Amino acid sequence: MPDSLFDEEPWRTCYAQLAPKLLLFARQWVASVADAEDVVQAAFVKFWRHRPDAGPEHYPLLYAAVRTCALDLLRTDSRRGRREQVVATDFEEPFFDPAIERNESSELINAALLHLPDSQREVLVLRIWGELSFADIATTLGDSINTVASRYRYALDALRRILKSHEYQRV
Amino acid sequence: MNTNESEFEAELRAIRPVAPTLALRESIARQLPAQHALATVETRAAVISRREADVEAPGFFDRILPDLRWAFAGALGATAVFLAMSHFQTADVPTTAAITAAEPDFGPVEISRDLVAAEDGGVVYEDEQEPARLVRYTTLERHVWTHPVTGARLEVEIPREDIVLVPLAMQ
Repeated sequence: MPDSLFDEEPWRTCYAQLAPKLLLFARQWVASVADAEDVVQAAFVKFWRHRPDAGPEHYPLLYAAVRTCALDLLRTDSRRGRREQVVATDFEEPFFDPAIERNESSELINAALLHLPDSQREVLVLRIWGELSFADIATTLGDSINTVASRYRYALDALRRILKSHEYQRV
Repeated sequence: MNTNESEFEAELRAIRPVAPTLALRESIARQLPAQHALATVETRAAVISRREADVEAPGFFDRILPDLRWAFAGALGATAVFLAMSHFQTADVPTTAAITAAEPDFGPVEISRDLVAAEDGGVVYEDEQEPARLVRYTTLERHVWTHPVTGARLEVEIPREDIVLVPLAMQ
């Protein structure tokens, strides 16, 4: 069936805008792309069945659904224990698009993100690549805006330090 | 990397997350439109069945009225007669409250009996008696009451059938 027939469906517009961001967010908990896609699929379908008329104002709840599904997957598969090991060694499936002009930067940032604590990394991902406001991030994570904002500052500083150290090592 | 925070954020945003595979989009598309299509089919089926029910199936009163029409008419007549009889009884034996209050009540204005039909039933022979002709008289009794204060008028018509045996010797 031609895609044009579905262009007006809200979920397709949402998917076109958010799919890479949701996948990146899911990969904060599940390292493999396949598992992350399973998480995004489950959350996305669940969200749109529950809210068929959802608009952009509801998208923070979609991120929250992805987070819930990812944590559920970790619990059901008992993967939490071996997650750190997988994340630390999983460079074959990068977080970011390895564009030629930014390939070096994306590899560095990819590696630096893996060194951040979970609570800081998820805020940073939602803020930078999810393009959510602090209020929306607070809604997604169920934390206060002040908590989210302070975690973001810590994450940004830590990421900058990590990248600097990587640059020094490379020099 | 720049140390300025906004420039650093902009540099991070310039790196795009990896896009999900086409399989994810297709999987979601299989689940969500299937639900919508199913809902549409169910909705259309419900509308069609409702329309058929509206057009073809008789309504509740349409179904019961033909059966209850005569029963309803009979019940109405019986109620009227009962009210009239009870009125006569109470009028003949007024209650203490009615006497003390001396409130005006409905009073009889007219009592008439009209012959509607007379039907010859033929000659009958009673045991050890002379033969007689059976005649059926159908009459209609009409009672009218009015209220002296309000002027309300109450009319009751009672159909009546009398069977009369007329000895042939008298003819």
